[in-house]
Amino acid sequence: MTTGDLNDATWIAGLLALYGSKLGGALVAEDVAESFIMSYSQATGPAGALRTIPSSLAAESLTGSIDLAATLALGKPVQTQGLLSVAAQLLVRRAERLDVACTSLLAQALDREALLLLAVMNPHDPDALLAPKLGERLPFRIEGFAEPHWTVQHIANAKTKLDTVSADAKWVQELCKAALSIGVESPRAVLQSVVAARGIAALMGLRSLNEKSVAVAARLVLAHRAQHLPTPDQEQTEDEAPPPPPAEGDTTENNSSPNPADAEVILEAIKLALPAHLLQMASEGLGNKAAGRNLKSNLPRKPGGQRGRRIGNKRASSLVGQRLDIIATLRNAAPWQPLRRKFSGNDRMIVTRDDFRVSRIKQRNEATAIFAVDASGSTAFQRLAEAKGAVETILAECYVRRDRVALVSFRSKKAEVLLPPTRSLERAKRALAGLPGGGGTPLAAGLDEALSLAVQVRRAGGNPIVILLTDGRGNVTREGEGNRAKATDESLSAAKLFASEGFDAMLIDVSPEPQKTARALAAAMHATYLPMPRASATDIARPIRKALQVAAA
Amino acid sequence: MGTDKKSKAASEYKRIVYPFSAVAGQQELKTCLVLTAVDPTIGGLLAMGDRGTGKSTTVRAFAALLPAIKAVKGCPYHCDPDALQHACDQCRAAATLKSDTIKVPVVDLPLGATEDRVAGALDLERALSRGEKVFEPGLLAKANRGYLYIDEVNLLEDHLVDLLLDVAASGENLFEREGLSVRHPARFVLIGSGNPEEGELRPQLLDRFGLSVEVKTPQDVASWVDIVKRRDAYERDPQKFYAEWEPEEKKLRQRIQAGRKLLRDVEVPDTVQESAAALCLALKTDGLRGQLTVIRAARALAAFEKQKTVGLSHVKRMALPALRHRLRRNPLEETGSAVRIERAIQDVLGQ
Repeated sequence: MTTGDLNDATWIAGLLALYGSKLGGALVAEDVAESFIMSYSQATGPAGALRTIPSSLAAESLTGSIDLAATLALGKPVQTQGLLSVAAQLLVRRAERLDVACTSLLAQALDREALLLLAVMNPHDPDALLAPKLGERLPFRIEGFAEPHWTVQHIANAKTKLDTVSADAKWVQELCKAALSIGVESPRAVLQSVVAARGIAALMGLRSLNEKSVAVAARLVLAHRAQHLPTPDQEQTEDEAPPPPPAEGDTTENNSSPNPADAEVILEAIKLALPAHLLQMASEGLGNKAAGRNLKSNLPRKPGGQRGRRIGNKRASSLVGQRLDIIATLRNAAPWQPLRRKFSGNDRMIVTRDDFRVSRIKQRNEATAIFAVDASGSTAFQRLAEAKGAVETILAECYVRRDRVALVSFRSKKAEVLLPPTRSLERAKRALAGLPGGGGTPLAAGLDEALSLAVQVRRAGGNPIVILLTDGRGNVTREGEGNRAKATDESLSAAKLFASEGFDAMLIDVSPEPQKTARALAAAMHATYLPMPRASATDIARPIRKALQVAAA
Repeated sequence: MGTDKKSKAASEYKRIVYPFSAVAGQQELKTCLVLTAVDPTIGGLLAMGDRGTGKSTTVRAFAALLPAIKAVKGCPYHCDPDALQHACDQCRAAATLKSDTIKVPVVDLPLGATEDRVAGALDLERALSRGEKVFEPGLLAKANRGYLYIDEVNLLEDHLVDLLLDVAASGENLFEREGLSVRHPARFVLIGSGNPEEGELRPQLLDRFGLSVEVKTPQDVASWVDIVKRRDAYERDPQKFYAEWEPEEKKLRQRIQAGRKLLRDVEVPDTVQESAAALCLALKTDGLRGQLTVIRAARALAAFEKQKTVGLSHVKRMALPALRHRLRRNPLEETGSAVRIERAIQDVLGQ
């Protein structure tokens, strides 16, 4: 059994086969999912068979509920079994679509170590984000092809060794050190890496952890949680600090105990597997904060259609995930009773599938205010402060009304999303404080960015309103050239594109005197034009508040 | 059906929960949880912090620690046979009651649960198969006399929040739907946790929590090693790990019981009352609930520490968790609540 040159995905297949539901599971890229499933299934044999569940799953199918059709047919209660009690290995495709109820049930099952979950996602879809609650509990990310390396025999052998593999306390410490130095946020990941390291050692046929098993585990579990490149000063300070007292019973120092160079081995292993964008950002000189935000971007998820206020009932084509309206169902069945009883010769109430009525639920639309702020030099710095003030005022209100706020800024050569839609005051505060001003006005780019964010919000089931704060005088083209004529053309065409999507919009002219260009732009966008020569933050906030109330109605 | 549920419950009991005493760090969270057990009228606990800081682990571990309670046998609300004023109608009407010893119920309210699941619903099985109109109790009924735990409470949907607010205020669940009219006791300690980066809590709900703590991940290697080692030892051999910690668990359980007994006799001197009032006044906290909670928490702390009189030190220690979430806030105020409270303690209570 050679394990020298196995790739990551193959290691993970072996580990999941070995641990079953004890090691969470993995997030799998769609294009390599088949190879992984093959590799995994060959390792587990029939015992580890995966049950595929749709991402549109209703929470009831996980927990089990009453089987109405069967109950009615048999005249006695028939319970459907919940998937969580039937299958311990689940595979879900397009896992980002799981609704919030399923997500929390799955997370609970993972906490109980009663579930192995493979969440398959499309890595090329920027909107596909797994609920952080699940992402945190799944130790592995599978992005490469797996080889069918393991056999049932391998796994069985490793299982017998697993209990005897000792985890030297020093290795635990090295893993903790490595995790902290790359900004891993939770000790849970380190725990997962220790468990993985032990599994790797068992798969390699070792009796205790060694450098290689720990390095592979660090690469598999910790690397993708990195927030920044290893901080170099970390190791020096650690070397000076006295090591924590060894745990009791830790006297058996065998030949596998690490030396100072081992920490570097672990870090090197992690570095090799660091997400590409992290390295890119580091080379562009962006700080840790930006990296952290990108990794953590977690849009609130679209709520399922089964919560909210009941507004009536309708005939049910399928009962899956629906709430049965009992009274309406019985009322519907009532007129038929004499006839049905005559035919069935049975005097109980007879309800058939046709009688089913389900509740119609009204959900409150969630309004999202997208602020697109012109932070160029022509928007005087004072204006920028007012725009910030307006966002703050709205945000304070959204906090009470449960609306969301997003922030796009454009200046100099490009536009960027400073704040993805959020309800969090803390993140908004941070984004606003960091909003710089000055430079040219890439108006077209700003409009494009606001539009794509609005599309994204709508796709997630929200109701976006775009509030553009600008003087309407674009002078930087989409390519980042300083060319006023071309820039104006581009911004008008961007505005028309915007209008074609039919979003609610508002243009707040922040120049000292109302500008013709801004008015024309508003007309092209089909936006409400609000000249606010001497607007204060609260003045700007008032019309926006009104629009939000309409959007949320 | 019935037997199914029982065997499932039994297997859950057998699963050894991570011992509460073995939770590394998180001192404030642990103390506050213990105090809610000493005096349940403190009114719940909110724990906000990053993911993976062990909030859920700590809360679930705490559940296992709590001393068993006496309850009416077969009652879906596990009414207390010794306090029938809070019991359900059936228990109150019954001539004789058999009692039973049960674990303190700790109910997980999963995010996205339907209202039916939380408040209860018409029992479908009985309605359809036998034509009987019977109420099937929901999670609120299960949580009566125990704990209701909501992870990611800040993402809870509004209509559920409203429901919880009503129930928490009145101590009973009024069910008026589907032609059923049911009223049953639902007194529980509400425990919420969540990550503030993902959204805020509605002010009304915030106010319902007696205490609030901020949970942070430690950032030093030694603490991480400690956390990981303990957890790893537990996962490798839960029985052995539990056996190691059992004496600690027992000791803590006894201290909680002793604290409960002592609570009635703990005195709050007028001077302490006044200084708590002055503190709340200085911080301009909304309503009287803040002041009341400071006193209750300080009293519970004194009882837990086997002291018969509440001192200023108790008030000082409980002011932060009792008031942190009650400061009227300018949403963009930079100074954290903790700093403002520390300052007020300095100004009002002195050294």
